[in-house]
Amino acid sequence: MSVRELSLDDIESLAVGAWILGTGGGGNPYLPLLNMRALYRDGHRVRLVDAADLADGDWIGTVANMGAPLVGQERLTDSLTLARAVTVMEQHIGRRFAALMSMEIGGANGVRPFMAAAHLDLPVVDSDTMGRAYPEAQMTSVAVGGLTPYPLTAVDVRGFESIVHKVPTWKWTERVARKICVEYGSVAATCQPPRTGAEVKKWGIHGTTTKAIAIGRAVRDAQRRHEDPVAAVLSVEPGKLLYKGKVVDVARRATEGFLRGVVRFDGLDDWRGSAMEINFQNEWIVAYRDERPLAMTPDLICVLDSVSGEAVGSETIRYGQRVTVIALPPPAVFLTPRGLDHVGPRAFGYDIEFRSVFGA
Amino acid sequence: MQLSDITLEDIESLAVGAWILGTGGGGSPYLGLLNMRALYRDGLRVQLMSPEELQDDDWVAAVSNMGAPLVGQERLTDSRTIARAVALMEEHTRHRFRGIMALEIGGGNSIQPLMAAAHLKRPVIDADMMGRAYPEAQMTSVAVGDLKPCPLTSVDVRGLESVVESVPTWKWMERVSRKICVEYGSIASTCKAPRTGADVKKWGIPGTTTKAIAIGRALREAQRRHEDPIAAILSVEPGKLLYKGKVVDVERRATEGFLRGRTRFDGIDDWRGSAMEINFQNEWIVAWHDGRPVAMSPDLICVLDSVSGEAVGTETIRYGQRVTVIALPPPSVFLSEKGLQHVGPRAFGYDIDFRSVFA
Repeated sequence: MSVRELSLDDIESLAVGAWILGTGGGGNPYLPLLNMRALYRDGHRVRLVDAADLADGDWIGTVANMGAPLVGQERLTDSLTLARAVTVMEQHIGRRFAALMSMEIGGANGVRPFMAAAHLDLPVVDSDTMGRAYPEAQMTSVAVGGLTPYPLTAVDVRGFESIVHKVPTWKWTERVARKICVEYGSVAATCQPPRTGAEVKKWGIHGTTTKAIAIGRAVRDAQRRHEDPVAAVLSVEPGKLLYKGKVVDVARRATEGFLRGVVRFDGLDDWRGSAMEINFQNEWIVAYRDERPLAMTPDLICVLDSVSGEAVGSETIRYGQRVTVIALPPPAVFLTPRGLDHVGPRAFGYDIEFRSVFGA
Repeated sequence: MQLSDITLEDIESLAVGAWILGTGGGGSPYLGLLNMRALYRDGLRVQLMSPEELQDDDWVAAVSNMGAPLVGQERLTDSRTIARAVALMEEHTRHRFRGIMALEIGGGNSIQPLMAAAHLKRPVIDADMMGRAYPEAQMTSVAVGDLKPCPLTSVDVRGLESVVESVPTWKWMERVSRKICVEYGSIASTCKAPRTGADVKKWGIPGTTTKAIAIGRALREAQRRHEDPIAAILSVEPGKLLYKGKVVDVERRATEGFLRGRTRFDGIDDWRGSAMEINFQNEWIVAWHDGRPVAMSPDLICVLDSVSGEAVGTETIRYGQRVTVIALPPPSVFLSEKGLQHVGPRAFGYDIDFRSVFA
């Protein structure tokens, strides 16, 4: 069993890399990073384990915060609350978890399993169920795989604890859990439906924590050396440079618990005279270049600060920012017809056929 | 162990008596009664157990339907759903319930424990936690007693199942479980925080199922004999006749998940020339006679059809009805200082001191 301890430097890189994989959403990993710095200062350490090393009969706890990232800026995430969501699940199902895992590697939730793991002294599986960030509960590899959509625990820092014990579909998990979360004040720590080792091996998206750390390390190294950080990302990932430009307009509205809107860019450098527009629902969903769809979900659309190479989020992007847009390839599970039903452009209301920027 | 069989005839009486104890709210027990007739036709039977027979460490389930009575007219009560709420609580807590009791004896929720008991083969405990109906989770004897407000299970006919495992207060239990219920479609079958036999003996309101059956039986017998049904109620309960009149106005609005409003009466017979007005929040809360408060929660204000003697609900009362208003004495737990904080007139926003009609 290969278990490796993460250094605090790995976690600093994870925060940078996960924010890029968040494709605009998932929330900024900065606050979870502050938590991890404090936990490491107190002597806690966290370990990473490969999915391949799990026993088929192991039980794995999948951890994520649910809610509005905006609220998370005021009601700060407490690592004990995340750990409590896991413990409530263990008590409810009467089983102990062998390891924890991220629901989504993108954004703040890429770091949160480690906050729980530090308290519970459990390893974290180097896998997740999105390979990026997505806004809804049915947009995961395990939902595409038709795995059981319950139970789910939702916990709050004031001691609220609820369990969605049974629902017929993943969309119902989303509906009931979302209402509980809203009543808590629009942020809840959740433990998602437990998975077996066999399920994680079959349906997990593997190596994503390692990937996020590698991306983050490349960006940070380039920053230190005053080299091009965007080129550094593309040196470690088989991505594609799509566009450079500056933000000329942002239309943003919070509706139905989501942040929806559109951003417009004017081209710079090689893209002078060419316009880009990106629609978002928490995450960047479809990028149009000169009004023709160029990149779309499940391809990862990443909007990066052209100078620092760090991710720009859909909630923070603003007029005048110089950005570089790149695409990264999606997990294969989302490229099947059933995968595209869950996360293709039509799942977000765009009546266009998926065409990958990495396609033939 | 003393268990008594509940006959279908008892349940017919329970439905009539519980509707009176509902003090205008709690929803009509009619649909629950139809369920019980079907279960009895299928050969199932229910037994009643006195709370005194419970061991201190027995576990007791308290059940009720939660939600908007209006929705209950379309998404009909299925007896298996309330049984599932109890079974889920047993799975979750790993307790086995000795018996099942009502959260509120008033209205349709008086029948819910019988439906669960029929499927799960347990006795119904002859006690509840309100002695009437009240609109909110913190308006119970166990909340007055500061017993633990959690966990709660919430189940729906389509197989949706949730557990509220921990909340700091009864008011938070109300808030979180209400939202789950609303997302289900505004109706859910719930099993409330499990109680021990000792809890039920100390904080339960005993004998209320028997009381509701006795009231219903007296009323139905009077109907059969063409005697005064209201006099019959007052012959079995130490109540007080407050008023006779006819409805001249009803203002009703559904706000914040409640049915609020007021109804006005013109007096007839001995009350000719005198007006009554009753404010309600699901239940009748304060009755004003010629502008002066004469009866208020926790006293039970019961508005009855003057001819049939059966209860008139806040959602069905209408212009022109001839009604008789009586008061019944409340459970003593609500007359303490803490009890009045939970259910006295100020708990409903009326800045008046409680004065009982029985004082």
